[in-house]
Amino acid sequence: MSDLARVVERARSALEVPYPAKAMILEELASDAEGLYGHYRRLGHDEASAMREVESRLGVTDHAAEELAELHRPLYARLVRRYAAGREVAVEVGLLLVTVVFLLGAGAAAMTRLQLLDGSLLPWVVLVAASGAWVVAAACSFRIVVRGETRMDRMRRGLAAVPALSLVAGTAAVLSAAIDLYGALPPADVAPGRALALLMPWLRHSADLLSAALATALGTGIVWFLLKTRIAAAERVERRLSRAWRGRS
Amino acid sequence: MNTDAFDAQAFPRRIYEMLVLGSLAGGPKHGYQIALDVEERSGGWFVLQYGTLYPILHRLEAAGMIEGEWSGGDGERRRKVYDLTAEGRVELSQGSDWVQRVLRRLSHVLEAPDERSGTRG
Repeated sequence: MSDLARVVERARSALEVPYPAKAMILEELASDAEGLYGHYRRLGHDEASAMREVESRLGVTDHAAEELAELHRPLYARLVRRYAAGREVAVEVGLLLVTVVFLLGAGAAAMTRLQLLDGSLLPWVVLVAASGAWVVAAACSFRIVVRGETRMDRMRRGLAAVPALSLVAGTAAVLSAAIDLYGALPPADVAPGRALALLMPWLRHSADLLSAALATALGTGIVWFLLKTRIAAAERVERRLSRAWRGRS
Repeated sequence: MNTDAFDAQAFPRRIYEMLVLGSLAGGPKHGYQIALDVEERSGGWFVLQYGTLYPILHRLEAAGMIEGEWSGGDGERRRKVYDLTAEGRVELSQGSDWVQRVLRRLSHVLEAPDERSGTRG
């Protein structure tokens, strides 16, 4: 790692600014560090002396880190600092619990009304997996967008669970539909004249269950895509940063 | 109470903001160029460290007084160039008047009482 890269790495650890703003600040700092280094070299400083000048001017003080964090603090974090300072964890655990209870409750209520929770296991799997996908999508959105994530290595945490849980919900819905169909076919075989009447409950049940799984996959998929796009933008800046450093190391 | 009264806590921050705006009045610059320009034009009196410069730049940008634009790319390091906006020019002009006012009042207070009465007499 070059000396200039070390200046930026120190800033990276000191700055509690959420991404993608943090990546922009680091990129700005990196370009200024290079510009300033070039300036002192042109003035006749040797490499070590030019580097010392850069470090003395661009070193991140606690005060600077706090001021930048304050400037880029998201609205939620400002509100929590103002009205619930020191109780951030309690607030977030509370929000998470409310979300879990709300999503599970709403899902269970809707599925009960549609008579989907008929005692077999798979509709429950759909309910739990779909609610889980929505909870994780909401938690990731909260962490990355609302509260703001300040560490790049934590940006992707939990995000892979969103499509995985959607897939579980979808697979369980398809399996449930297939098993119910196999259950409905023998009576329909025995009484072909009543086949439609015998298959109608299966059709309604399967359509509702598959729609719920599809809606979950689509909804959480959109959230997942938007979050991935946001993370990718920050990662692009980070990659550009490290590529440029490699060229100067 | 005088609402236009001097705010000692905000004074250093405002001075640094004026310095940044004043430097940008001479044309668009990168962050480090602003710091060097201020230092050079003040004969080394004002030294803008990272801790002072970047929060000011980001605050002025958020307030619409300056605008930052990224240049470069395609594998090269992108660089952010700051320029003064119309609002920034107004603020610079008002800020210059404010600095003059502060200095006038300060020197008036610092004058020895006999000098002051002499001036009055």
